[in-house]
Amino acid sequence: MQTTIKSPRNGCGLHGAVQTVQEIKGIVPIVHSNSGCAIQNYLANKASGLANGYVSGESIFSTDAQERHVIFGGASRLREQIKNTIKVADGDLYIVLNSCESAMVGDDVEAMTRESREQGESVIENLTAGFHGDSHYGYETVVADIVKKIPLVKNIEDGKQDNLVNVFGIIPQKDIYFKGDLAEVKRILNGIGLEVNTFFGPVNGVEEFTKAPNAALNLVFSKWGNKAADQLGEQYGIPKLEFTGVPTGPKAVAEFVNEVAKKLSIDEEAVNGFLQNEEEEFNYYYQGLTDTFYEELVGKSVAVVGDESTVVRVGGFLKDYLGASVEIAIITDYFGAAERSKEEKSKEAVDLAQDVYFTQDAKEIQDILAHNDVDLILGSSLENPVAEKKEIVSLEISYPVYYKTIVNKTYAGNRGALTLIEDYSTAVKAARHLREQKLQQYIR
Amino acid sequence: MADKIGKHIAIYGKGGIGKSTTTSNISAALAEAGYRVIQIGCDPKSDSTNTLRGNNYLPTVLDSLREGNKIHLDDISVTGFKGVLCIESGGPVPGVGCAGRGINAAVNLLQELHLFEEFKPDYVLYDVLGDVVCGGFAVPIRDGITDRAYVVSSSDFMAIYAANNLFKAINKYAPTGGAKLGGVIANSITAGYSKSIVDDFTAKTGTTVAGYVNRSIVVQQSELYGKTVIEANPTSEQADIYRNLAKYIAENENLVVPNPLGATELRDWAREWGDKIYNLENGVVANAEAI
Repeated sequence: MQTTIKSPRNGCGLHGAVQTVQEIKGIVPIVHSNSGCAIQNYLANKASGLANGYVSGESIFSTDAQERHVIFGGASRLREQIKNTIKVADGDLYIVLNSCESAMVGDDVEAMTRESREQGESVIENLTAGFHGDSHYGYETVVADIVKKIPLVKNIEDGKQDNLVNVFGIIPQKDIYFKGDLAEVKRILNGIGLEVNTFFGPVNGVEEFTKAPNAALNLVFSKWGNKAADQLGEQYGIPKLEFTGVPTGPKAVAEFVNEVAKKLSIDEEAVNGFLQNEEEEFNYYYQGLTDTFYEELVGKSVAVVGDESTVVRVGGFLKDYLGASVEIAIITDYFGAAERSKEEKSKEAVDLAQDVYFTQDAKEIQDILAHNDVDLILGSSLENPVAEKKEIVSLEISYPVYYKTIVNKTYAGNRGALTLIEDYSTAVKAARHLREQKLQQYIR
Repeated sequence: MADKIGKHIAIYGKGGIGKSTTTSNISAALAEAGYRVIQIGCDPKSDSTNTLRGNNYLPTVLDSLREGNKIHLDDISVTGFKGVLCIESGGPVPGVGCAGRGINAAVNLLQELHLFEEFKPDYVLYDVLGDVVCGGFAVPIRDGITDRAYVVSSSDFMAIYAANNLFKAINKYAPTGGAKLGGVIANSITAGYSKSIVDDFTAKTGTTVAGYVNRSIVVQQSELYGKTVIEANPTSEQADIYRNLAKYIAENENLVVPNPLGATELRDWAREWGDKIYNLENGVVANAEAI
């Protein structure tokens, strides 16, 4: 069956891999492709107003393959580029990402990285080839490959750490608040005495990858984190706990913390003490919202659009804490499994919303939103036009985002939940303002 | 292409079936008859024109492209028997890169160098690697580069299988300006039934036989001399076979879009022939139609 997809919000596999590795401090990516493959990633994420990491964006190294590298093979060009990159860019780890064209030609990328390793350089490869999947696939495959191959180039110290956990499934840049989300997850886990490998953020990611095998538990915050977690499970026997998304709000945080604490046999008293403090702090601010809640928030109908992990936790929080009714949930990260029923796809989404859709087609999403009356749309910038047309307010919570600068904002945990309260109630008030303005026209 | 200079003919066939031998002899026969002929080998092996140029060294188009220097026609062509202009597209070393893209790039480069405007050929023959394994090898029959293709086939099943694959490619590209089929060149015809097998295949696919080339020791001898039959044994019967074939190809305007057999159809057809020739060899008396 042929279908047309308008403005799909997910890039190719290589795009996903590039946007992932460029957020890992210490990694230098080398893209074996024509020059466009690396720069497209930059342009896509620049449009989303997202900041970049170390070797990132237009500074990413590329073999800049030409037609002659397709005809005669591009492996020797890659060898040259690896050497040149090591000369000019300091890195703890160099990772070669290949492209559709080098995969089609069959360049022996592994032979080139093996050769570099034999010369004592820390070079690994991820045979991403854009056509293998979308940007989610790029994330999961590149992280799993780093986990798998890092022992080839780095010393993995012996010594299991009972209080160390690994965090997977929060996708850099694709999850627009990934930096703040990781920081909040880390804060919560630190709160119950755990050390955390987040891999991304202001930490040395490469170093954390070398410590990952010593962790006691893998925490997976979206289905896209399973591959890396399972790789660690297979190699080092580390168990995993899987969650649909990062916890938002005290109820979700408590459930999450208790589950982790149980798995790692953490002292119950310490956990309860932490959770009590968290809840008290949250409630202090939440109670200040009472008037606004009853006057403005309760009973608002919303549509939530984004990846499953975002929709489920944001929608769930609005429903549980802000009296919203989630009429529509549109999940944008299910691919290639259209034959499965929606219940099988996402139980949480089905429980959450009156109607659940699975699509990444902007046209289909716009049609769904256009034909349903809701008070607010929470989605990406791609949903703004339909909100404007319907003269309702939209709040940007998912990728891509064109009209925001994001530094370390988060909707995760209890602190993020308060930010979500601020943003959501501000949007509801903006909607009131819009209505009032419309009424003004009838007043002389 | 209305402004095409000369008739452009692609010759396909399974590897080792005698494409280069046949093409070179056709080129030689056309040149002998006074025509201006270019033969372009589109095979990474780059040995299509060996017998035309007496094994003179000829850098391939892609070798020159790899060097990255400015390329002149003289660098990549050499004049062979009776003025046939010999060109080899060349390709990557085995197991590396993409030979299909190489052929594409080589043909593009020849057009950029205004080869046809400069040489003003009457006939251009493209000797193309065996099976049409990917888009790159279909380049000569696509986009109007040639307007006619011939396929060299023996009565061996694999050769016919390759021919059928070419038919599929022609069938796909002909409606959008690609080449049509001029016919099948039946090569290495020996036993009585081998001619019948090729005949039956052409009848089933709505195509015709352009000529029958018998298996002959003269061909082998000429090859070992490093020459075409036309040059080495000009008075032989075999030379006349090639001359007639060249004449047919030069004059034939009966171009068709073939109807390739489906995978099962082809297998069933082959099985039928398997039974027939087995019975023939073992003296089983039965209805021997089409033999």
